[in-house]
Amino acid sequence: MLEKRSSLICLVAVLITGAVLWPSPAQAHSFTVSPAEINIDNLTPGQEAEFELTIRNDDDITHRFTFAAYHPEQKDRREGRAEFPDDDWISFSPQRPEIPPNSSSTVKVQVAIPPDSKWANKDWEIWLGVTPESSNLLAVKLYVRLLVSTGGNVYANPRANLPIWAIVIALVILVLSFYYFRVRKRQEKRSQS
Amino acid sequence: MKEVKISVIGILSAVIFVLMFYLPASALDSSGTITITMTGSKEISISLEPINWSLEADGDGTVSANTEYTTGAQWCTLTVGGNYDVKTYIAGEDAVCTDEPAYKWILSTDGNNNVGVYALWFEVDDAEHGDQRCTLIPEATEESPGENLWPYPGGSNLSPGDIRHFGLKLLTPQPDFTDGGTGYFLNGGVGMQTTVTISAVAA
Repeated sequence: MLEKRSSLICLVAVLITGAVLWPSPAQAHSFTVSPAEINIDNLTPGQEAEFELTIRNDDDITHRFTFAAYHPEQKDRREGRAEFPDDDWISFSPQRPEIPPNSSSTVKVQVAIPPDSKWANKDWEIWLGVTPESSNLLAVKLYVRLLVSTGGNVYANPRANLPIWAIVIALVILVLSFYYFRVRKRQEKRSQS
Repeated sequence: MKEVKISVIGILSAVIFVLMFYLPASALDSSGTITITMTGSKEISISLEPINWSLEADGDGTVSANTEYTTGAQWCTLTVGGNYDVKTYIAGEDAVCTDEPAYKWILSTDGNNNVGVYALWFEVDDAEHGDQRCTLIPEATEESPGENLWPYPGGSNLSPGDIRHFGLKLLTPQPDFTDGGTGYFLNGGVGMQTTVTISAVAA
């Protein structure tokens, strides 16, 4: 009996549970994402852009959705588009929305390009993958095409990017000015006395 | 009076020096216009049914080593929803033991099985569209969402309302060890879990 058991294995746990726990495992798997394509133009390196994705859960059960950025090959990208340099420039809020059956939810997506002139005048494409968490054998993932074009300038946040050496030089000029003023005043007093 | 002038000039110099860094940035801030185009109300959607495969080899969802199983090419129905044409892809992954995650079956890259290596194909038998295929399912990578499901080579993208069918074929690994002519898996009788991902993107 033991040999017989060990000579057999289960293919997929979900298949077994599907067969044993849910006598009718044939469930549809359906959701909708919009917009299917987003085009951000003239995003200056150093600035941020924000938009919303709408996810509609067409299933009859609640799903928790997750997001992932994906870098398609050149043949799958729009013409003239290069690979988006860094996934970390894109963030989602909320990161794992839970959507009840037959309901919709919006997710804010923020794209932030670092303030570096090497990211100016670029045309990139990245895909944002949306998928419901599940333990079924088949899973659906929908990709949103995100096209990002950067402008020619670089936006430097004055508070965040004011060089330390500039602040130091300004302080030195101020201190020297006061010092010069005080020294001259002392000299004036001495000459008067 | 002269000393006061000098100190005032010094203070002004410092202020101007700092403003040199502020002003260009402020100018950029007011002139830059970011355009976000949402491309109308385009939405994409696909649905699959069924999403689980109940293996009936032994009536309880179990399989034997080095054996092929198939769902049949009409097993799963893919329906395109939304309002925009899509391209679809299919990808697999390694199967992991639910009781002991260190025990895995690696997804084959060439269609051959081995000890700890299994293979998955998708099958299409669509005479109406001249589409008959049995193609190995690869693992998704950072650059590839998998094998093209539809359109097939020479075919067209899927449009809203389109319905297609496909099936899966499984070749289980060769046995981990053999005893008395019978092949065994080290973790016999436990569950192996994997996911086949069908993805879609605006065409």
